[in-house]
Amino acid sequence: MTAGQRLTCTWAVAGRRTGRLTIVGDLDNDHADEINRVLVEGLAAHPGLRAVHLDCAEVAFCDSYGLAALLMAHRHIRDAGARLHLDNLQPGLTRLLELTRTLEFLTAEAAPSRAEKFDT
Amino acid sequence: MTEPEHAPRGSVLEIDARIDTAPYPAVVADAAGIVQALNRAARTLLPGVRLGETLTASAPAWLAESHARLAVAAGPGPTAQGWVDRRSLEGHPVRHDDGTVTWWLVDDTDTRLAREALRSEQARTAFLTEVSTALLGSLNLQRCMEITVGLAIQHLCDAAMVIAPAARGGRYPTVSGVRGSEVVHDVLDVDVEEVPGLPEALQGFPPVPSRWLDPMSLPDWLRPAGFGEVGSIVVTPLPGHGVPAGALILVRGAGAGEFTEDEEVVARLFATRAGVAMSAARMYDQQASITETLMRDLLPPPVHQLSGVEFAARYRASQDGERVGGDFYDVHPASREDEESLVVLGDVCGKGLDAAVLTGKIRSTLHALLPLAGDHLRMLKLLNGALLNIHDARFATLVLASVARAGAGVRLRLTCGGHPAPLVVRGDGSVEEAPTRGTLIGAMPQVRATTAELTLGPGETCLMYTDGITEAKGGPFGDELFGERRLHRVLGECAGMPAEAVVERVQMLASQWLGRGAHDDMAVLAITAPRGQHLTAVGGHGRGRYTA
Repeated sequence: MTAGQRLTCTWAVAGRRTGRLTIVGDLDNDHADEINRVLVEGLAAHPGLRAVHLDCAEVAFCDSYGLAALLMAHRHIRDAGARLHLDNLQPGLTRLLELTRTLEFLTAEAAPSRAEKFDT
Repeated sequence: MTEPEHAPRGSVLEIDARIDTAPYPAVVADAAGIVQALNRAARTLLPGVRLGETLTASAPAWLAESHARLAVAAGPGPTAQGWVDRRSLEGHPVRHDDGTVTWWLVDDTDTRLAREALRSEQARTAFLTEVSTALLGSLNLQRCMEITVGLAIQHLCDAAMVIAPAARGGRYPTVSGVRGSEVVHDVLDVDVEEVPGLPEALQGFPPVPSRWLDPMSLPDWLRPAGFGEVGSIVVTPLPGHGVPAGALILVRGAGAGEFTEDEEVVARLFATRAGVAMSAARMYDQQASITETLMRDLLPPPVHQLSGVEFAARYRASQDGERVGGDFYDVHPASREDEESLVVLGDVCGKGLDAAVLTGKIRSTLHALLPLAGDHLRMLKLLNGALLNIHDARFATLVLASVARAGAGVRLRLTCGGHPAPLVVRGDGSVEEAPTRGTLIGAMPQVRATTAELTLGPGETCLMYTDGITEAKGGPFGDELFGERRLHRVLGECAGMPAEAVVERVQMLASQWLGRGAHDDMAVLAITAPRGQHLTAVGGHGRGRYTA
């Protein structure tokens, strides 16, 4: 969709261990990259985080590109040694994550990359 | 200013010494045009003018004519203008009571040259602006060559030719034109070595200056058709962006005179602009043909009935004008009647060329994995391994369907990789979702999926679709999704229809729903068990025939 709603992402840190990214708008082809731009900056500014919460209460729409952005966010967070939490998932997004079987993967306990074998 | 003293009419005047030594030439003539007096400066400037003779006989024509006009006109009279040797002079007449006139001649050569230089500079700028505007308007090489020839014969010469560098086969595409007739396209099979300077100009490197040719030694192919005697001819290279754009040949007729230094400068500036435009057009052409070649391979294939099963598909790329995008489908027919055909429909994340390239990769990988189609999960895992990369999280979702004829019906094995489950339309109009679910492909190391097995009775359809259909945003208020519920309802109305009709209807309704709104790629593919009776007369082992 090209006529999506503008996306705003707000980064905040609670204590020394927890980051929170609040996403408001559509995660689509035109806007989804914004979350990783803000996230990468936030992670770089606050090393040592153990958990990053993505607050999705205001995510109205998510397409495949939005999902790719969430998967990329997961990589960044895992590489920073933290665990991703998806908060306040709305039914539409939950359904997309279940359909693609990504929900469990995105929110799983951060496993050391070395132990992760490609399942082929 | 003191006037010279005048003697009676007809005699020759003595001239006052103060006038005689004035820095400006002064010529006094009577009403009949007879020269009455000259000062010293006038004698130096116009040695031919003699006292007592007429201006017509001895002075420059422009002065004599102006004087004659002055005699019949009233008032102070207009100034005269003309050349003596290489000097431009302005003649200011001063009338006297006795009917004589003194012409004071003022040298305005510098002013006039400056004015002319300004005028020709303005004309040049206007011409080059016209050139740039005309050439920038087109990215078509043929059109750029036409424009170049057209502008050249309009402003610079009587006939012109543009020779592009040799195309495949060593032949030279050309455009030529003669003033007053249409430009002509041609492809010449000639030896450019016959024309001095032309091979270098076509090579583009090292840069060569314009080169004058001897009109007598021109090869025939360079002689403009229907053109009289050639007066002068010049070959100018057309420099491009690192790619030589060709050469420009300008021809003037025998009477037209050679190119002045100024005209050569203009011709060179013109050639530079034309060359840049032509090489841009050429690069665009190359890009376009590369894209065309790549795209041809990525286009969705035609789909039709195979082994007693109906297939039909529709595809609409997100950007109108683009023919490929992120959605794809393929039908790999079984090599034998009793084996399964494999159908793939999927959606690559993103749009445009990036998506199309990933699409191509997935389609080739799956093609290579066809022998493993008996195990969908294994196929998905191998594909996943081939697509995983560290640079981005681009992924694909897809459905695999293995299809085989089973009696009057069709047996299906369906496996989703993160894709919306196919919908099955039963004979009674009920619509069910195939119970299959799996991980999307290309983003995560683990792949899990479940395969659904089901059978279609005659007239029943399984529809595979991409989310471009359900996420089509439009409707009466322009902001509502087409949605799964609406798709279910539409399909329920398609019970018993042939595959072609089902895909046509779904595609049409989704497009109508969109109206003029932007949309994602949309693909639908229907697998239908034919409704016709089995004509068993052919025998139990053969393929059998079905009527529609």
